[in-house]
Amino acid sequence: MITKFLEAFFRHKILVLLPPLIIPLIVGPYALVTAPIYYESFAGVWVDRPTYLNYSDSFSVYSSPSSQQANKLQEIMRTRTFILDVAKRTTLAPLVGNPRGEERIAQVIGNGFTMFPNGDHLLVLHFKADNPRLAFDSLNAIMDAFKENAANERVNQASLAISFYQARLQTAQEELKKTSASVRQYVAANPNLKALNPDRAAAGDVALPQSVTDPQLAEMMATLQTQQKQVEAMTSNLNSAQFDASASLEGQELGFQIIDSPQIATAPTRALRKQLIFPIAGMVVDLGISLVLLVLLVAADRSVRSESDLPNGARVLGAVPYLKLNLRKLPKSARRDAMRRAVGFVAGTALPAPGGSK
Amino acid sequence: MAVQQEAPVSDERAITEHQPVRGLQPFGDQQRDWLFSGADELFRNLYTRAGIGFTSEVLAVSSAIAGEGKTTVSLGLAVTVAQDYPERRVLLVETDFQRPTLADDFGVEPTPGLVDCILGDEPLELAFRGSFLDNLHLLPVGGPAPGPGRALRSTRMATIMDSLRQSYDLVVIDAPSLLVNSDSVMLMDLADGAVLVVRSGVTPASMVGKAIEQIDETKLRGVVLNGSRSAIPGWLRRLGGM
Repeated sequence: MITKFLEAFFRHKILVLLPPLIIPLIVGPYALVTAPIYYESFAGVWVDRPTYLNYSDSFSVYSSPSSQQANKLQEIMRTRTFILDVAKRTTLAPLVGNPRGEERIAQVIGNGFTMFPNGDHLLVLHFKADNPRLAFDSLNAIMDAFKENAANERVNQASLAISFYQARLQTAQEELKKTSASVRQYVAANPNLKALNPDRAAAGDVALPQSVTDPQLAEMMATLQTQQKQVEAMTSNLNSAQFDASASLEGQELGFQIIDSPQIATAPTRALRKQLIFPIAGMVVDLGISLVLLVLLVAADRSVRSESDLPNGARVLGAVPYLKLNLRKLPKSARRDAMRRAVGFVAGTALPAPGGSK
Repeated sequence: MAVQQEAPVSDERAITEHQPVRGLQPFGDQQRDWLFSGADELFRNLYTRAGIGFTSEVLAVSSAIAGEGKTTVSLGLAVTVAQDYPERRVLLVETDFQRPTLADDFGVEPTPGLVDCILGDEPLELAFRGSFLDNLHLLPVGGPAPGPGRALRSTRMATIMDSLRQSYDLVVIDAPSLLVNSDSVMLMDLADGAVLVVRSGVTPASMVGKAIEQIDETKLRGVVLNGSRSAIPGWLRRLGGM
């Protein structure tokens, strides 16, 4: 069966191979000529690992700053709010608020924007659009919106941390105040302890021989000291959070530096890569057609080519091969009889009878 | 029919004495070679497998339809046997009235031929033509005949065939196509053996089957595939062991 298919293929190779060759040759140039044109803007941004507060552990030390920032930007690009924020900064702004317009915005910005890390710190941003102004504005808008978003995020985180520590500090201070008041009351109620200053005692810098002999006072003094330490720790944390917050905001500028600012494209580009799908698809479809054609050719070929094709069990005595005779030397009228005359040449006179080879 | 019966039929001696009667004169010692290599071995293989050449016999070569190479194979068989057995007398008989080629191919007079001997009063010995091979003679169809179909079906034809069988060691009849000309079936009956020529890759198997059905099973020596060639490149055939 394989032999039959091979025979049919090589016998009709032009017919079989023509569609996969011709169709891409026709479709290819057409697809390339009709490829949509667009304008591109590029920007190169030097990024650093986001300087989040110390309390954030969401970043892996094993990924590069550029890939971290790229991931973050990619995630945020999926949000409708961010996309609309970007659109408001471009000529697409009039479309905001209209459902169909917002669909269009999502399509333009979602399809037009691409980015890829190029090294540990360099992030390349790319935007393509129907007109150069839109590409330029959109890329700038994305960068601005991203920076603002990051800054707001840092401010929010810092505020959250500071208010948390402030609340904890306030609670600790109130507890300390209560305990201190209790000690005062206890000392006032006990004449032997009138010389004791609770504030200094809480600081632990005064020797209190009386407390050693009074277990209740000793317990109260220990609580007082513990709460005082908590207040100090909270104060330190609050100061640290306030410092980190300001450092983070200031470091933001350094963590997102535009090295190559976007330029307005001066010449259009054709979307050739996308258009290549058409000739390739054409070739694949035609290969399928060729395969079907080959099957049909094999199925339709009822001629005798070998002994197995012969009916009634007839045997083949032999095969007289097709001879490639040099027919060019012969007049056209003689070509049909050339083979017979070449065979009869040994005994006949009819000339010319061209030589040939198997 | 009366005309046919009146025409004289040569006996074995008459034919022998008159050969070569007309046509080519042998070149003497000059040897003519095949124009393409391996042709002699090719036809030698065919007649060996068909069992031709060992006894005196009449072999009919036919095909299912026209243009399959009957004349080429008949010619090749006759020439090869004549070359290989110089002591054996070989005759090639042309019976295709519609497309006579033998006279042209050999550059001999087309008439008188077979049909003239059957329908006319030409003596059979005048119809034989010589060739460059001493032991190979030709019998062109001759004509033109008013009703060639009747000629092959006549009793005279059977008589001539008997006479030829006695005069020659091998008589190769280039018969018409079986499915085109019903006279061919009659010729098959007159012959001792039959070979069917099939144009490889052209003749439908169904037609070959019908043609084989018309030949006596005991007489059919086999089928010759003519113009056989594989479209698969040689390197691929060698690679795949095809």
